[in-house]
Parts: sequence; C-alpha cells; structure tokens
Amino acid sequence: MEFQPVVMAAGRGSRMTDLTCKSHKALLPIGNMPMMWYPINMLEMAGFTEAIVVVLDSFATEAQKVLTEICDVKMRLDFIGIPDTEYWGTADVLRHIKDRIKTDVLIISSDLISDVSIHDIANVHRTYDATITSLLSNIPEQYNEIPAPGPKSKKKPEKDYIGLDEKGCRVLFYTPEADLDAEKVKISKSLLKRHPCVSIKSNLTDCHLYLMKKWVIDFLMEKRSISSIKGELLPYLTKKQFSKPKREDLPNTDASVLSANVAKDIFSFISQDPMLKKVEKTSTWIDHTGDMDNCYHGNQIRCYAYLQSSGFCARTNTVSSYCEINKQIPRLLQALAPEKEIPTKHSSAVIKGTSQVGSECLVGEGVTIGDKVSIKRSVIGKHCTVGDKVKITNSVILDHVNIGECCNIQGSIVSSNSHIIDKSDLKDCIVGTGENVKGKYTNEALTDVHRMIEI
Amino acid sequence: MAPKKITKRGEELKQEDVLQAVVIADSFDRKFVPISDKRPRSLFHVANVPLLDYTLEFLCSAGVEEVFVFCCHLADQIKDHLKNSGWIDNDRKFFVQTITSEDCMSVGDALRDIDAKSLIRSDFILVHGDVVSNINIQDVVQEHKKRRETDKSSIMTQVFTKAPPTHASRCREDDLVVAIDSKTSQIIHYQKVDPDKNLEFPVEILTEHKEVQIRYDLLDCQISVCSPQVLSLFTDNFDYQSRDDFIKGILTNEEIMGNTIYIRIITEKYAARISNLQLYDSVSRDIINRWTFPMVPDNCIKPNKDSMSYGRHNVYLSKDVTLARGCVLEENVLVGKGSVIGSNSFISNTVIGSNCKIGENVKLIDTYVWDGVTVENNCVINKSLLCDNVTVYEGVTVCSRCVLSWDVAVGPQVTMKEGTVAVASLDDDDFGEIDDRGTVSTEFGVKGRAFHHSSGAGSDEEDEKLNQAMWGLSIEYTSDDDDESSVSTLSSAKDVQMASEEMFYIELQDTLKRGKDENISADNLIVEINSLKLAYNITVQELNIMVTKALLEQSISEAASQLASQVFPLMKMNLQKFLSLLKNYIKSADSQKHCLQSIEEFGSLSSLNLQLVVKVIHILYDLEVLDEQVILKWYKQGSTSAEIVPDKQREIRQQVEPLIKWLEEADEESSESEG
Repeated sequence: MEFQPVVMAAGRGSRMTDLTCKSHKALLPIGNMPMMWYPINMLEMAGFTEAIVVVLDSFATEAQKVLTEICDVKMRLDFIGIPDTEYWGTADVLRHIKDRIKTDVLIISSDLISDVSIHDIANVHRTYDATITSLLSNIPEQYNEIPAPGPKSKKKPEKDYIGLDEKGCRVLFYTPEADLDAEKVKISKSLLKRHPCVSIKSNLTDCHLYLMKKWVIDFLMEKRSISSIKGELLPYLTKKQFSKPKREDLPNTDASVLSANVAKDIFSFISQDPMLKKVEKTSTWIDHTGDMDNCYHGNQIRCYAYLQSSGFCARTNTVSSYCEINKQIPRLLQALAPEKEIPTKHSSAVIKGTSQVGSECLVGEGVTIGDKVSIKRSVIGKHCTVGDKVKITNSVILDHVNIGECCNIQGSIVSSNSHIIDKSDLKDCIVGTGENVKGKYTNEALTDVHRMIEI
Repeated sequence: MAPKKITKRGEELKQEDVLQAVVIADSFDRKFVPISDKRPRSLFHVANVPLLDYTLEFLCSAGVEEVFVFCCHLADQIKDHLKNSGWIDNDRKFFVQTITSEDCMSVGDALRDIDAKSLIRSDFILVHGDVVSNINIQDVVQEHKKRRETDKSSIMTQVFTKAPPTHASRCREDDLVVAIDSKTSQIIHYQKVDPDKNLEFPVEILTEHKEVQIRYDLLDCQISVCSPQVLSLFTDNFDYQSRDDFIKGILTNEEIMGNTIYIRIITEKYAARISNLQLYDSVSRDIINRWTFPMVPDNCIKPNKDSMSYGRHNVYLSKDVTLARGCVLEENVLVGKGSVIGSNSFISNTVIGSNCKIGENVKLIDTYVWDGVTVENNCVINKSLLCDNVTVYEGVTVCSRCVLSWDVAVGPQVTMKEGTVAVASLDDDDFGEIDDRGTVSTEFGVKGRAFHHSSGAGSDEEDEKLNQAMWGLSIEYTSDDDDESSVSTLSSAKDVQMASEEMFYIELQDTLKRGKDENISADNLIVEINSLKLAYNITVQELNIMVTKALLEQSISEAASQLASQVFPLMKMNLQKFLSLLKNYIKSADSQKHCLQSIEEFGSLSSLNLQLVVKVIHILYDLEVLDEQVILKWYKQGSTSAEIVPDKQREIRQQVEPLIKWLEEADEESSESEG
C-alpha cells in the first residue's frame, strides 16, 4: 500500500455552531447522506480498501453504524476515537495514531466534497517525490459569497496567501492571512533566484487533502508545538524547504565545533528511499530551467500542490457552504457516486395530490408530503411530514421534521426533530434541533442557545 | 453627400493612425565614459552597425511613421549620421526628425521639452537610442489602445523580456523585481534589488490583488508605449528625472491619480537595451548568433551598403576582407570591410570593424575591435574593447576586461593588467597627470600613447569602481571612505607608531597569559588593556586587530604540537574563555571587520594557521561575535591589509569558501525562529 488514508472526522464545526451545537458535524446530512460519507466514497472510488477514520469518542459507535448500515460502505473502516475533552488539532491526531501509520499517509477531511481524482494528486506527489502535497482549489471561494441563512455575520472567510512556482505545482510561500506581517512581506532573494516567477494567490482554498511522507509524523512527534497541519505544519514545511540542514553537514569542520545538545532538526528525520536517491543521482531530469544546479536545487523538503481548476469542490465548514452544497447536491450525486443509485425521490416517499416537487430536489425515505405543496431547490430529509399548502424553496430540511400547514420556508435550514407550526413564515433562518417554531422570522437563528440569550 | 463624409472620416483616421515614436539618443549617464566622450552611445558600432540604426530599423519595420530623435550630448554627430545614412531626407513613409537640446540633463527634461513643443498627437512609443529589438511593437500598441478604450487611466505599457537571474544580459543595475497582477497584467510594484538587503514588499500588493506574480526574471528593455498624458505628467512633476522615477511616482500615487501602468512580457522575440559594457557584449553575441533576426549582419540594415557573407559557425565576412593563409576564424566572428588578418592568427567570438590590420600569430578572443585598429604580430587580446584607431604594437598581452579608448597606442612587449581603461590623452585639469605620465613608458610600452583613465572626480577608488562597472563585474566593490582614509593616515605615520605597537602587543600578550594563568576576570582584564591602549597611544582599530591576534597566537604557543587537530580544541577553549573580553572589543561592523582582518593576517602566517582560519571564523560566528553579513562582505571585498600578499588572500578565501557558501544559502535561516 502506497498511501494509508486517514479521514479526519473529529471536527467540531466551530464555523457553523448553529448547526453543530447538538449534532456532530461529520454526521450532518448533505443530500441525505452524512457528510463524512463523501470523502470515504472518494477513497472508495479511488480504489482504497481500508481507511482509518478519526472520530470523537462520543459518536464513534453512531458513526460506525451510520456508515456501514445506512451508507453501505464496503471499505474496511478502522474507527479511532479521540477524547471529546481534548481540543486536538489535526497534527495532534496524527501523533495519536502514529503507531498505526506504516506508510506515507493520505489525510482527508470529513467536510471535503469533490469530484477531483485522487490519482491526479498522487501523480504530482510521485513526480516530484514530494514531502507533502496538498489539494488547492479556487472553486469553493464562490460558496462563501452566497448569503447564508441565520443572522448576518460580518466575518470574512480566512484567506491564505499561497505562492506557487511558474508551473503552479511547487508551493513556495504559504502564509495564512493572520500571520501576515502588518506592513512588509519578506521574500528571500535566494528563493527568487531559483524560482524567479512566484505567483501569490489569495483566492485558493486549502481543501484539507494531503499526501504526506511518513517521516513528517516522526518529526511531529519531536516537535510537539505544532498542532494543526494547515495552520502550522504546512507554513513551517514551506519555509523549511529552502533552509539548509544545520551545522552537522558543514564540511571542513571538526566534530568539536558542534555541541551535541542541539535539538534534533527537521532534516535529521528525512528518510529517502535509497532507490529514489540513486535515480535522482543518475537521472538527467531536473525540475527547473535557468541554471545547472541539481534537481530541486538540493532541497530535501519539497511542498507541492495540485490545483483543481475545473469540476466540483467544496468544503462544508460554514453555514453558507453547507446550504449551497445541499442545493447543488442533487445534480452532483451522479458524478460523485456513479455506482450507487440514489433516487431524487425515495420510493417510500408519499406525495399527495397536486403537489409539485422540482427536479433539483431530493426527497428522503419515508417522507409524507401533503396536498398543494410546492418544493423547489430543496432537500427534504428522512421521515419528514410536510403539511398541505406548504412552500419550500432553497431550503434544507433535515430528518424527522414536522412542518404544519400553510408554512412558507425560504432559504432556511431546519434541523432534525423540529416542528414548524402551521402558518409560520421563515426566511433565511436556521432552526435548531428539536425546536418548535411559530411565527414569522427573517435572518434568525432559532436555536435554544439563541433564545436563552434573548430572554 | 455620403461619399464626402466617408473621405472626411478617412482623413481623420489617417491623422490618428500615424504612429509616432520618440527616440532618446542620449543615455544621460556615464556608464561608457571615456568612450562616450567622443561618440554618443547611440552611434557605437554593434556588429559594425551603429546602434541607432538598429533602433530606427526596429521602429521602421514595426510600422512607425514619424520618429523624433532627441539628441543632447554630441548632437551634431547624430544629426550628421542620420543625414549621411539616409534616414532623413528620403521619400519613404518614415519620417525622422531630430530635436536638439544641449541643456537637458535627464530623460525627464527631454520629455518635458517634447511636451513643450507639442509634437505628440496620440499614443506613442518611447525608446532609448540604444535598443536592439525585433519585436512587433504594433501588437503592443494595439493592446495598449484597446486597453485605453475601456480604461483611460492606463497610461503606459512597458515591454519586458524574460531573462532568468542567471541570464547573460542581466546585470546588477538592472536587477529588478516586478509584481504584476496576473489577471490584468498591471504593474503593481516595481523595485530595484539592493544586493545588501532582503527583499520586502508592501503587504497591500497581496491584500489588494487576488493573484499576484512576483517576477525576478524580467529585463526592462526600456521600450514603452505611452499615452500623451505621460508627457504632461512629466511636465507636472518636474522631479521625475528618469523613467524609473516616473514608474515609481505613478505606482505610489496610484490611489490619488488613478493612473496605471501595464506590462507586456516578450518571450519569443528579442529585445534588449545596451546600457553598459556587459550588455554591449551580450547583445553583440546575440546579434551574431542571429537571435535578432532579421537584424543580422548579413541581412544588412537599409542605410548600410556594406554587404556581408554568412558562413558556418556564424562567421561573417565583408567582401573585401583579406585573410592570410593559416589564420583561423573559429566561431562567432565578424570581419568588416577592408580588414586584413595575418597568418596563423586565431580569432574567436570577436567582432572586427572595417579597415583593421591584424598581424600574424595574433589571438583575439571575446574581443570587440572597432574601425581602423592595428594589432601587430604576436599579440594576445582577451575579452576587451578596442575603439577606433587603436594601435597595439608587437607582443602585447591584453588581459580581460580592458578598454582601449580612441587612438590609444600600447606596446611593444607589455602586458596590460585586467580591467585597465586606457585613454590617449588626459584632460588638462586632471590632477594625476604628472604621476600617470611617469608610469606611461613602463606600463604602456615604449611606443605607448596611453594614460590610465580617471574620472572627473579623480580618486583612485572611484576609478576602479567605474572601470568595473564598465564591464559590469558582479564583484562587489564598496569602499568605505572613512575607513580608507584612516588606513592611509596610519601608513603614513607608520614608522613612528611601529615601536609603540610592538611594545603594546608584547604587553597585551603578557596580560592575556596572566589572565588565563591566574584566572583574572574579564572585566579586570579589559580595564588593564584599556589603560595599555592609552599608554601606548593605540588606535581602536589596531587594538581590535591586536586583541584578536593575541588570542589566536596564544593557543598556538600553548599547544604542544603543531597539528591542527590539537591546536584547535585549545583555541576553541581560549576563545570561549575570553569571549566576554572579545565581545567587549568586537561589537560594531567595523570592529568585526578588523577582527576578520586580523584573522586573515594570522592565517597568512603558516599553513597550519591557514587551516585554522575557517574554523576560527565559524566559531566566532557561532559565538555571535561575528555577524554573517560582515563575514560575507569581508569575503567579497578583499582585504584592506597591505601586509598580505594577494596569493595568500586567495588561499584564505578558498579555505573559507565552504563556510561562505553555507552562510549564503542559509540566509533565511536566521530570520526563522526555532519554535
């Protein structure tokens, strides 16, 4: 096995707390499938037969049950729970599961929905014998600009400044917006000498899909201060690419110059396949033009990226992207899982009389829809009951929701087990789990957390 | 009714469509002094064709119809040339007009003058009279006009060519970094690279544009397509001297004025500006290697009647060239009309002008020989430039990077040192006249008619700097004026001071030895040494040098054997022991320089010491006594100490090389904090 896949499904959904306060982010339904099914499906499609799934302890059994029984995943999934009480970052998780990692790893986040082929990413990784390869895409950007249900927030999505080389493969510069110096950006001259054309983009999203050398995890064991892959490890590695190993390798120096107590530096962890080393030495291929230096200019750490430019890619980590993806998913399901037949209207759903359900809608199992109902561009979860003369547009209704007569629901998310009382009018709202809602609301988050603050 | 209208519109169009160009036939700099004292740069022969002809041909073939040649320095020569070569006064659809203004000091002045004359009607091309290019500027003009239709504020399109950092036509003064918006190809930042500083960019570049390219692989070939506003902007801002000023001004005032500059990168065609001798060299090569096709020597540019034949290995010969039996024209050679080459001469990568006489057994490599030059038998000339009517008598060796200006004669049987710039006569007010005349006979041979060239200001250091700049050496030559003078005063009063210095040194050694044996604290030692300094009237510089020297020599004398492996641990121990003492003296960049000088002197004493040099420097770097910047600077600059012979210096630098390499490559390491 070349890569060992790890699905990171222990996220708490801190950017969409209105939805995740009572349920787990990774299990939020998207097109009536749990969110974490999509990356697992991606792996399955790429031909992986087993994967490690990292989940929070509290819902490990639930996740296992949902995935194997309802979603019918054939892959051998190895669930690892991490304690709910610890706020671990992705790098912490890697440290936790270190003993299970035998080869290079493929890390994928549970909120990634994309039709990108993992093979293409792996090919970039293989071509350059990269230390880490990440998936970048400029597609998710558009989802963040769509107005989200719930109260309007002024929060801007976090940006990263990513500098790529001329070919758009090598990552030369990686700085999250927050880490950017207030006035000046420094770019070292030696970097520019080797890569004279750096294009820095701020419209790319890191999709949290990484291929990573095994030794990086060994390094993480040593450097405990790094807790997340994207926020800390990637910028660190990107920077380190152009550094030279510490003094040990300095020629012409007696051993006495060195003090032995120097902390182990990252270069001492690098292990290269001896075969590849030989290939690199004997091959005439070099990765650059312009000078006669060795391949990769002798850089031992190399960060690359695969740039997805077409197709579909989304990270469901905000309310707006969650909402948008749910709207798009009916027409994407076919592409994402061609082998699996997912009907847009489940056979067990009952639709009465003259109701209209648009073609871009998904209606789940056991749904009952009343008379004269109109549903457009919406997803209706399992076992929902929709009363007569209800209008639902651009909305996401989760499981077991009861909607009374004559309701009008627009651009909203209604969480599971909630009850919308007759003649309610919701526009751009979020209804929390198990709520009873009555009346007219616009741009509000109707969760009990919210109500408590209000009262 | 209808036809009338059409013709009217047609006329209007025609008036609009006449593409105008402004050629600045003056460089406003002194890069080519002393050659440019007698002939303006734009008339220099490049592959035997005056530079200005390339520029005009480039504009003519691009469909420019009206050209204003702006001349300033030696304007008459340019006018005469234009008249004689037939650019002016012909009935072609290419109208050349000269504008003369003797009191212009800069490109800015020239453009203000043109604006005052209101000659420009619409978008125009602005080039220097030293541009060689075969691009189709019309494309760029169209692109510019199209952009102008939608956005009136885009006032300029600059043409750049791609040249990676290691490219031959990249030189230090053109080292620039440009930031471009990838989508619109708007220039958002433009900055010359300072070799001593790290590159920094304003954050706004990144925050205000989604996709930004930072490019270090571009060469500014100084071809721009400008809107008429450019001229009025120059008039409004009379502090804009050069085009660089202008670009900087536009970019910094972008928010207020709203003007923008765009970039066009040429990847397939050729464009370069001969801004210094290094570029003269590389552009000449490119022409001979036919990168500039159709502007190649055999495809002669219109006014030149001199036709050439083109042979294998890029050998170009005029019709009436005489080649004696046995002479070898290896490759990339151009020989002008009426030139004679003697037997058994070897010529490679060389341009020879017209009516030159090259003797027998002559070796010309990478050399540019202009018209009417005589090179007698058995001469060897490497990578040099020989202007018109130079005579090189028998048996002369000219080392690389020499420039023999107009009418110079050298020889016979002399060797010219690397980087010599010789002129035939000196200016009257040159203060060094007598001195130089004294050296003439010995250095430039019995029949010699040559003097070392010195620039107006006249100091030796500047002379050297200038001459290196002529060939665009990459070696850094930064002389600190204060430092230089302090050394010279020292040497003048050397005899007087010598005795006291020696005495002081002996005392210093004793003090340190005692300090070690009796374990005296560093503070007390410092007090003692300071009082010694006062007693013997020692300068700070000498003190720094001697303290370092004493510490190093102490270990040598203490060591039992003379093996590097044994001496070194001892030395390391000593240095660590006296670290606080050393740090007390070696603090500033200057003192660090003295310290390095001392180490260097120490290294030149014996082979054992030589081996130790790199380690000592490394230790001191680790102990944070020496700063990496200072080490690098010292390495590049060369020693200021007169006591070390150049051979030793070289050896030492060889020893230190791995360390320097490592320091250079790890320069970002320092900025990184080990978390």
